[in-house]
Amino acid sequence: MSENILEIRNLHATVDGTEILKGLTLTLPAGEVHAMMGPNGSGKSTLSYVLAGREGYEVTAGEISYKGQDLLALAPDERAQAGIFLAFQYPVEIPGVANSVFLKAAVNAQRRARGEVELDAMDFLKRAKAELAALEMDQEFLSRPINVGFSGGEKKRNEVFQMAMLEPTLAVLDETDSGLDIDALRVVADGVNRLRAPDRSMLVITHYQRLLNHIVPDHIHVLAKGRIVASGGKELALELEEKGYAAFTGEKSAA
Amino acid sequence: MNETAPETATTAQAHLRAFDGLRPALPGAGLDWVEALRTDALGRFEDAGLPNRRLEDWKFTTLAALDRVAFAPGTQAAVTPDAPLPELSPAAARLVFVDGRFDESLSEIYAPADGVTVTTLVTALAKDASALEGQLSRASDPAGALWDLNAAFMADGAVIRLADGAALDQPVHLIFFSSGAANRANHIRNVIALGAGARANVVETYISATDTLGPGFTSAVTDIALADGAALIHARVQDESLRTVHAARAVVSVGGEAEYAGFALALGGEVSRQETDIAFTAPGGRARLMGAYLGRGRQLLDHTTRVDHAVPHCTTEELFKGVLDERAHGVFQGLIRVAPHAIGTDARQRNQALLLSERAVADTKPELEILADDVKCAHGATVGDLDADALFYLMARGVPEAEARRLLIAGFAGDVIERFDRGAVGAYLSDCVARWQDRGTGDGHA
Repeated sequence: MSENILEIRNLHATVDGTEILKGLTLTLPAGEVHAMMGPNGSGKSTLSYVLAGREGYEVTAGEISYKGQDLLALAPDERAQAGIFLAFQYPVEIPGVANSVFLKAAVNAQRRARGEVELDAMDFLKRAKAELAALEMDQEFLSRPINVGFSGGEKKRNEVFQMAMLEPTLAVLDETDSGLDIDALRVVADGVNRLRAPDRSMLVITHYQRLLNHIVPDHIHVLAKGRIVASGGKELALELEEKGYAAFTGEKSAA
Repeated sequence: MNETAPETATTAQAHLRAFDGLRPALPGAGLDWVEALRTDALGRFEDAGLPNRRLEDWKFTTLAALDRVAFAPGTQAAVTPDAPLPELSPAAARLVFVDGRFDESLSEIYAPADGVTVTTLVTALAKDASALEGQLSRASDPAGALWDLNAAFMADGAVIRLADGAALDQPVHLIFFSSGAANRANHIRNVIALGAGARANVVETYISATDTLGPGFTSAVTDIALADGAALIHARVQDESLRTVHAARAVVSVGGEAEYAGFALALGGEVSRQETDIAFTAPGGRARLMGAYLGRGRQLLDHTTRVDHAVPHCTTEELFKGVLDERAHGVFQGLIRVAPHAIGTDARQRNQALLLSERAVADTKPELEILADDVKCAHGATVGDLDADALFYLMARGVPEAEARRLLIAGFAGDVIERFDRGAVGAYLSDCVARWQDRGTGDGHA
């Protein structure tokens, strides 16, 4: 097994013909939590979608190696089966499909892909209920359609709940803190912290420093104009908070 | 195509020829009012002929299949069912009709209740015809030649009557099995009457023998009268063979503060037309009309609704969803009429269709005729492919594309089923949709 879960080298990616990522290089070792901070439009969400394999996000140069294999050769479902999880910034509402039906399909698709026995309804329900309780979520949540009518906080909790059920090797959290009040933020952050493990890496994408008070990263990277312009320890977040992004991006602060 | 070498060229001709011979064997023979009703209906049918696409109401849907094969009515059931009958559980009663005739050996009333009558048209006309006269005559008001044909030839069906305040918590399941043998036409007439404050659930399921047996023509009218404060949940599942022409109509009068909740599910048939006619007769009535159509191959699936807000303060909520694959053609027509004095009307109508293939077609025709002030009316229609964001979301969790598409299609239809009913009836409708999905593309019925 590779020491590094994720290695991104000189990544260039375009959306609708516009280059958003312009030579991004990043190494994420096993067991570490890295934060990716940056202003709006710096390419944070593009990076998350490129990692998850979303259509329309085209890699024009560079490479991504996940546990030593070429990530870009895999379809989105294969990436998830291989252990990649993206917590969406804007989780999608899907009327008519119950959370439990969807999540059981996902868990068992991943187990099949790994050659494991599928969970039966009883085992699935037992595990789901335990994880829901840990996230202070009601069990009737399982029978509700995916994210329909959920508050912003409920949607983010649902992402963390799915992450707990799917036990990924690499979790990418895209602005999981946005739209959360302080209590929801604590619950979500606790959920994420519980999942920290020596064989699991996380990339926490955020605009604000406040999430990093709750999920303390091993490393922080600053993304600007599609490139990493600064990397450092957790003190970098405080510096950012104090000076603003402009000090790192070379632009005048808009604020 | 037609192995039996018909003496007559069309379904219309075959029916006109058969009428006199068949008449003595039809229920109500010898009763003046029934005879008159049949004769009048046949006369109107003879004048008008089957509807064609020059009629505004039939712009999208052709019954040309009835001209290609001379479907004719018969007296006896031709076969016993060769397929397992659908299960709806729990149910208060199951009535099975084979080729339009009641089959007692396959039927059972599990839970008789006070003030509840569950019987057949044949029995009701033989024992207590006068109780049916008002309602049977009413539904035979001129409503188009297709329904006149049903009135002239109606042979059997279920009669469900609840006294004031009576309640039937578990559904009554009516199963109509058609053999398709000998180019058979089956004319079914059901009657449902709920007294004041009565409550019931009724499910009709139309199925047929395996596709190899032959083409079929099913005509089914369900006449429903809801007295003040009554509530009916009524689902119709059309899952006949791909060689069947299915024409069905629910005609409903809704009393004051009464509620009719109807669901029409179209899965089978070469050509399927399911009509719903609602007339509010006193203020405060509510109608929830919902449905789904899931088509493949060259199926044509048509839902047509007409709602008459003739009195004030009634509410209509309509939602119909279509899933159309291959070269299937879906049609939704919805007429809402609001009379000049029908103030306080609240009527909403929506139609959404998913096109899974470039050759699939969805037609939608909303019609609002609003002659009153102080009403709320709205309609909307959307046609599109599966939501790419939703598909990506499921795949990003590891669900393979084919399974993700299946989940989304089930969810699209499941959404309208969930809005309709979260109990046994809704679960049954979901099962029917799942079976449709299991059949896969390109083939007929198992």
